[in-house]
Amino acid sequence: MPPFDASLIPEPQDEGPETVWELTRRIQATLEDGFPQVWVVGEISNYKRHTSGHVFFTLKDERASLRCIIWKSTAERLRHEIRDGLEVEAKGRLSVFEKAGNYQLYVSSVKPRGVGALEVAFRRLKEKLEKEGLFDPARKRALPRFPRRVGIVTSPTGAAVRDIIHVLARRWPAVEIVLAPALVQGPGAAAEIVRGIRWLNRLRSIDVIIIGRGGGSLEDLWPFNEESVARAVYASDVPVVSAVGHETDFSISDFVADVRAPTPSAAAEIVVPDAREVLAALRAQDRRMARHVQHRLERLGDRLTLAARSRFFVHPEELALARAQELEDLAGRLRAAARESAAERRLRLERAAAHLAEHAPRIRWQAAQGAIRMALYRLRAAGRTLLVHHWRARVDGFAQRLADLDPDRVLGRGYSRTVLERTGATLTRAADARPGDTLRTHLAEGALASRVEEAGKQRMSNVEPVFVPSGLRRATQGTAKDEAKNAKAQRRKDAAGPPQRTLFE
Amino acid sequence: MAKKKAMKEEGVSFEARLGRIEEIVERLESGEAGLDESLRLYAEGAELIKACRATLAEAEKRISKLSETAGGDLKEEPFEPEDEEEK
Repeated sequence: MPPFDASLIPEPQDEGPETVWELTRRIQATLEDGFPQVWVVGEISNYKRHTSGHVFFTLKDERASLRCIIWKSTAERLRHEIRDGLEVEAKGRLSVFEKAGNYQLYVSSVKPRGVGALEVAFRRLKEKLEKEGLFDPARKRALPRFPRRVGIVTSPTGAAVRDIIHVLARRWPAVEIVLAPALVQGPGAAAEIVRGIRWLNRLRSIDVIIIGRGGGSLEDLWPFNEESVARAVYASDVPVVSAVGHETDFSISDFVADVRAPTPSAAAEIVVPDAREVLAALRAQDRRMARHVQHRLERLGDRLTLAARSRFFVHPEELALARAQELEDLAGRLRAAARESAAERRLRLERAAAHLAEHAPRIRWQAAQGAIRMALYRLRAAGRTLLVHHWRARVDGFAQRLADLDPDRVLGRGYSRTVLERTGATLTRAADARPGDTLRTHLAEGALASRVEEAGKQRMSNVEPVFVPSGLRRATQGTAKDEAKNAKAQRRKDAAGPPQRTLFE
Repeated sequence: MAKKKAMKEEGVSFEARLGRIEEIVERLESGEAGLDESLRLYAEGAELIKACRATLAEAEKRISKLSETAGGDLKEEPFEPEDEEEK
C-alpha cells in the first residue's frame, strides 16, 4: 500500500463526518489528477454493446480487473473489432462512477494486441517496395475501354464476387467473366491470390483483372499486404485493379496496382463502360450522319429545281428561237457586207447568206438538240434522285415537241419550203416574188429550182400549192384533169430547164 | 472494301468499330465527300452502328471459373455465384 499523502485531501468545511457524495468527489479528484492518461493491456470479458450505442467491457488479467466504457461516438469510429477473449491495448482516462461507487476507464482508443506489430510491418514493406519503384505512377497502365474478358481473383463465395458480377452484367452485358478462386484471408491466402493472377495471365485472353475482397480487420485483409502478392501484381502483363475492403482501407496491393478501387463494386464500374451511355452516343452519331446526308440531298434537290426552272427547260423552243435570231442577224450583216463589195464577191456572199438562211432551220434544230443534250447531261451530273426521273420525263416531252417542230418532219408530210433566191428569204407570200425570179423549193428529199411565171395574191387551188402553174388558166378548184395537165406541163418544164444542183445535201 | 467488310465481323473489336464510325461522321460533316461517297459512307456507318448495338444488346452472361487439371492445363467451367443466404 503506498503511503497516504494527507496534503491531497481538501480541508473539510465543518466538523463531523462528510457525506458519501463529498467523499466520492474527493476520491474522484484524486483519481483524475493522478491518472490523467492510462495505457493498459488486458483481456476483454463481459463485452456488451448497449442499445444506447455505448460499449461496456472489463479488462482483466489473472489478478485484477478494470471496468471500461467506450462512448458511442468513439465506439463507432473504432478501426478494429473487439470481442471477449481478445487481448487488447486500451488508452484513456480514469474516473469515478459516483452512483455505483466504482472507478472506470473511459476508453479513447483500443486495439488488439498484435495489431501494432502488423502496422509496423505494413509501414516497413510499403517503404521498401516504394523505394524499389513498384508504386511508380509511370508504370501504371491504362485500362482497356471495352474489355471483352474480365478476370477476377477473389473468393468464390461471399458478397464481393456477387457484387462484382452483378455490376459488370448490369453495365456491359456482353462481357465475359473468368473467376480465379482464391482464399482471401488466413494462411495460404496470399499464395492462392498470386496463383490466381498468374493463371489469368496464362490464359492470354483476359483484358483486365480485378483482385479484392470485402471489408474486414487488418488481419483479415493482411494477405493483400503480403510481399508475394505485391510482386505478382507488379509482374502481371494484364492491368490489375485492386479493390480491398472498405473505402478507408488501403492495402499494399492498392499501391502497386494500375488502379485502386475503393470497393469491389466500384472496381466493376471502373472496368467496363455503361452500355446505356455508349448506346446514347451511338444514337447521336447515327443522327448526325443521317442529318448530314439528308441536308446534302436537299441542297442538291434545290439546285436541280433551280436549274429545271431556267427558261430554256420550260420553253426549250426559245433557245432555238434565240439561236435563229442570232443567225438571221448574222445573215443580214453578211448581206449588207455583200452589197458593198465587188460583184463576184457579192454573189458569193449572197450565196453564203442564202445558204445560211436555208440551213438556219436545221442549225436552229441542231442548236436546240445540243441544248437538250447539255441539259440532260447536267441533269445526270446533278445527282440521282426521284426528281431526275421527273425532269427527264419533262425534258423528253419537250424533246418530242421540238422534234415535231423539226422543219424536216413538216416537209415529210408533204409540205415544201420555197426560197426566193434573190433575197435568200423563205417565201410565204406570192406577192414577194416577181415573174422571172428563181425559186428554190426544198422538199423532204431534194430540192427543185424553178422560175416564176406568174405570182398572185391568192392561193391558186385548194390543194397545197406544190408548184406555180405555168401560164395555165387559174383554177379555183382543181380538177383531177387539170392537176394532171399541170403536172405534165411542169415535168416538161423541168426537163427543159438547166440541170440544177440542189443546195440541200 | 475488304477492310470495311471485316469491320462488321465478330473479330473486329468494339473499339475499332467506334473509331471507324467517328471517322465516317467526320468525313461526312467535312462536306468534302461527293454525293456518291456520302451515300456509301452513310451505309457503312449504319451497318457499323447496327453491329455495335447488337453487341450492346447481348444479354447472355458468360461467367466461368478457372481451375488447373492434373496435367497442368487451365480449365474453365461455368460458374454461378451463390445467392445471398446470410447477411
